[in-house]
Amino acid sequence: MKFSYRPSPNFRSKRHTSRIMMDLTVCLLAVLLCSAVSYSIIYGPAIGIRAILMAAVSVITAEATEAVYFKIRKMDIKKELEHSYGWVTALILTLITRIDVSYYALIVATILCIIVGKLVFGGFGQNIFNPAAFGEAIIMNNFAASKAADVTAKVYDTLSGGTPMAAMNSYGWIIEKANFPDFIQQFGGFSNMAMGGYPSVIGGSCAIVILLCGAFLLWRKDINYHLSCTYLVVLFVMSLIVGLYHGAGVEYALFHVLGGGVLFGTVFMMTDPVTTPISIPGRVIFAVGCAALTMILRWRSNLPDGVLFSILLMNMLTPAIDRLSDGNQIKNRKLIRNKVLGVSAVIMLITLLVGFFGIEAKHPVVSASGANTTALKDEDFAANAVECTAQGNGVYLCKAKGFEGVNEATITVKDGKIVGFEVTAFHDTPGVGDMATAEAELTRYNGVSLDSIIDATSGASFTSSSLRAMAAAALKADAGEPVSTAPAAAPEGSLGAEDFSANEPYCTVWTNTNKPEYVYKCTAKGFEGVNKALVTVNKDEGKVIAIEVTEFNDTKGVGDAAVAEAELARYAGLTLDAKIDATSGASMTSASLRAMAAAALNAAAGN
Amino acid sequence: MSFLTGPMNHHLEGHKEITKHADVLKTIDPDVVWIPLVNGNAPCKPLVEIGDEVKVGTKIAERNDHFYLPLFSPVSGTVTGIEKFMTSGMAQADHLRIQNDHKHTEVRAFPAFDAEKASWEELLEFVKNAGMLGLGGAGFPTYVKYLKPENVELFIVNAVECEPYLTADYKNIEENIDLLKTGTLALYKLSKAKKGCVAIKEDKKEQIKALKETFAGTPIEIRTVPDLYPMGWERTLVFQLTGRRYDKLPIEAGCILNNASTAIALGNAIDNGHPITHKYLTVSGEAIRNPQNVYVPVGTKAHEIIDACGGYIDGIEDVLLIAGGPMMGRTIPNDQFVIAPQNNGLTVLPTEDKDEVKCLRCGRCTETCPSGLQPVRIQMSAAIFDEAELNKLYVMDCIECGMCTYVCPSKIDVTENVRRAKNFIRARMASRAKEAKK
Ligand code: SF4
Ligand code: SF4
Repeated sequence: MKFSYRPSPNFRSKRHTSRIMMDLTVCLLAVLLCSAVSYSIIYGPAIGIRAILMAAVSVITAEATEAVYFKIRKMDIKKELEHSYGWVTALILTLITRIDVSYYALIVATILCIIVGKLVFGGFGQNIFNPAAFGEAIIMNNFAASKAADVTAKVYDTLSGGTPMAAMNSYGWIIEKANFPDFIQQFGGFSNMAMGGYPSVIGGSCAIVILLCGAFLLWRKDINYHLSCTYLVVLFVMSLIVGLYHGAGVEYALFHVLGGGVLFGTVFMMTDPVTTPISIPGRVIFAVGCAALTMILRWRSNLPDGVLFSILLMNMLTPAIDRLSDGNQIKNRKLIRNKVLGVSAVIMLITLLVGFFGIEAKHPVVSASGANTTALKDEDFAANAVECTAQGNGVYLCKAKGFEGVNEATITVKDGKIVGFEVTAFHDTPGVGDMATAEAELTRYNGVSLDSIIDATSGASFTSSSLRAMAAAALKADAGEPVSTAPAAAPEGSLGAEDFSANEPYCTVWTNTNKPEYVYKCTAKGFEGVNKALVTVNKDEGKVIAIEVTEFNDTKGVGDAAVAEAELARYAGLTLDAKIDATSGASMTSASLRAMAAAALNAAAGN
Repeated sequence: MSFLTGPMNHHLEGHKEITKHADVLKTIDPDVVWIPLVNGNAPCKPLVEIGDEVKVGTKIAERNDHFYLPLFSPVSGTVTGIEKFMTSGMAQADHLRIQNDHKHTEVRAFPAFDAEKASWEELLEFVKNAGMLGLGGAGFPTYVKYLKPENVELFIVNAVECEPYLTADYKNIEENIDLLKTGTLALYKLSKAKKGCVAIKEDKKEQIKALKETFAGTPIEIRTVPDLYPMGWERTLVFQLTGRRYDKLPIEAGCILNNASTAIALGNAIDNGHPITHKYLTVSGEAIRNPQNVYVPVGTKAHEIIDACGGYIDGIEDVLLIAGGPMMGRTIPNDQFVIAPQNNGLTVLPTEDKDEVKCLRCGRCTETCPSGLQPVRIQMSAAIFDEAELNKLYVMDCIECGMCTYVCPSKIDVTENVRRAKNFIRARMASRAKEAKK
């Protein structure tokens, strides 16, 4: 009998690091699958399959890179691969990447994040930066242009406002309570966001699945709730306070949490123990710091989403944070607690100050992005319903719709150029729109002709567009062209003349890959609920091609008379000037359908 | 616990059912016993000569430095020599060899004693002369704790037995519940405490019931504690029962603790005039054929006990023989050591390879360390010999409870690394003291 010596204890729990990594892998695959499925449904199977292929490519690259590295270092390849968990890094990297990133960029980023982000530090357990975040930063900084253009067109270009975070950015990161319903509509509401019905990064969409994975991992004690919960709570509370200060509501704070990479980052990246502090006090400070940085980066930088960089920045501070919790957790309990409270309070205070005084709401024209490239005479001011009356001597009194109200100006034209521009009545949001009417802004109109290009005033694009509309109209009037861009009244009894305001119709562009065919995703109130339809319109001809009801929430057996196939066929060829009868016996539902058709046609006409 | 600390304890798989219901084997009567002539680090002086006849209960040795502790013969027979070999504490020590004549002739070690009538001073003297020592593992002379009992609020009999596999205390209480009552009441009196209690794990339902019946009408309460490790450790138990932490000794928190088997031993001394000669010992583990509790004379060799329990399971060639339970007990690389009074188990496990991976800094060790340390950071600082940082991390507060190794999902010997860090600090301090002397 051999009596071996082993230092005590000789009793170990069954839990193994490999099991934790397996749990993580399963969850990551679940998120990947969810994304692939929802992409397949929305954008077609090719996109869904692409998500899975990207993951496969990244995992294979990661494993191959590690194998080569271990081979060079003459280590036991099989054993080291098993204990290096490179596939987890690769999966996370894929899931925080956009679906339109080229395979080439993904492969290079994977190799770099495995080698530079992990192996050079000594491999698993030794790395300073979260390797996946490191890889994604490489993609963002160096491969921004390396995209599969067809995928970009299919997925991202159909969105009027961009990804949720880009949309937030265009609003100046504050969406006042009144504007929130419209804003969230772009993404189909919170429920749609929770189900992944909007594109962001591959793994960023399926909030529900990510939350379930988080709950599962917490239950298995694979991840740490001190970090994840503190982060979410602090992020929510701080955005709530800042939001309330700026007139936004609870929804705004919720949007901060649901949109972008917050949930995925919380469950899968911030909880990576290797690159985060070890002790609980350290983790709390880390989480508070991450939440603060996420907010500040979102508000004050041009990065699409602060989560990733907040993690990378805090990673650098991890050793220092660890040192903060030096000591004996029992004997120095109060000291450590005070340190945590003090540091957290300072961080939060700074964040709130930035939030209070560093940001300002904007009201972007959803379609106007970037600098203007269209000459004044070619710009489309249909929405401004501009009118000018000549006062003689080249002086024109003009009116045009801005954001909330109608603005008025007196414009003097001489030799086809503006020589005087004075705003006589201003009815847009004070503090926002008046940026466009500031004196310095108005001087830009001096000497402007119809061929000039005038950029919108950033942050006040609606008001700015009303000013430009008036400028264009005055110039045109002086040149003897017709001035009123107010749409001609639709013929009596026609679809365009009907009043559907009770139905609250709303349309967004769904796809436009088949120009001039545009598919609009529309919603409108019917009798009991909100009905939804996809309306296909020929934009050039202003005609409905087809209408397809995607969701029917009115009374079964009554309202559905209006959505019968034969009834829907009646919409083909419909224009705003044509008349369409209500379906008898189902007038409310029918009204919702007509409202959607009208809204889609109006949207196509640019009204 | 507060939000900023972990639980500082953890539930362990008890593995107690293996031996909990088996009968106690009492027939082991070795031909020779070796009495370790050591208590703590202090040697004990033999009081008999080679060739002397001894009986069960003859005083054969005593420790007489700043503490006093007599040792008594567990068998009757002849003293045949003194030999030096390794104890279950892995130190070299002299052992008194006694040839057993198997006659079991007894001598009454001390006269009959009435603990209830005796004065406090008489009781203390009795405890001292009866050779009572901490049977929970420390082996510390019992009377010392009671020398100055001031402002004691709670006297605690520790029947928690949180070490996995071990059921010796459980069996001992089961068989000697009346002696436990006598001993507990005597110690309670000695402690001058306001309240007294027996602390036991809440899952030992039947024993709780029996204890409640036995102690009905006495001032002793039965308090249950959750099945967590290391609930039997004094600091954890005191915190669990009183919500108080202390710096050095439990008396700072108004508590005095003794192990249940110590109380039983005292009961045996008071009622039967019998000193500590035998031990309840759990022999368990996955490599022993007949796991069970045994009742053996102090000084029995480990291999004789193993043989009496059926030996090792066939096919197992390589075992870990642990003196005690697998958490705090040490593996001894031979089976020639003898059972000392403070031993309470032999755990025999098959030697298995572990699948060690790199530390992932998961922090589990930090959250469960009952001393409030950060074992993983101690481990990292020790790797670079950062003495200053190790001191900031209070490395010397480690009690080597084994928790950090137990919870580590990367299967690292965290406890051993902390132990080495302690040794490193000790060595540094010693060399500095030497320099200072020069
Ligand atoms: S062995 Fe020491 S460091 Fe490890 S958990 Fe126990 S007391 Fe803490
Ligand atoms: S439990 Fe093990 S893996 Fe986790 S931090 Fe401690 S030493 Fe590292």
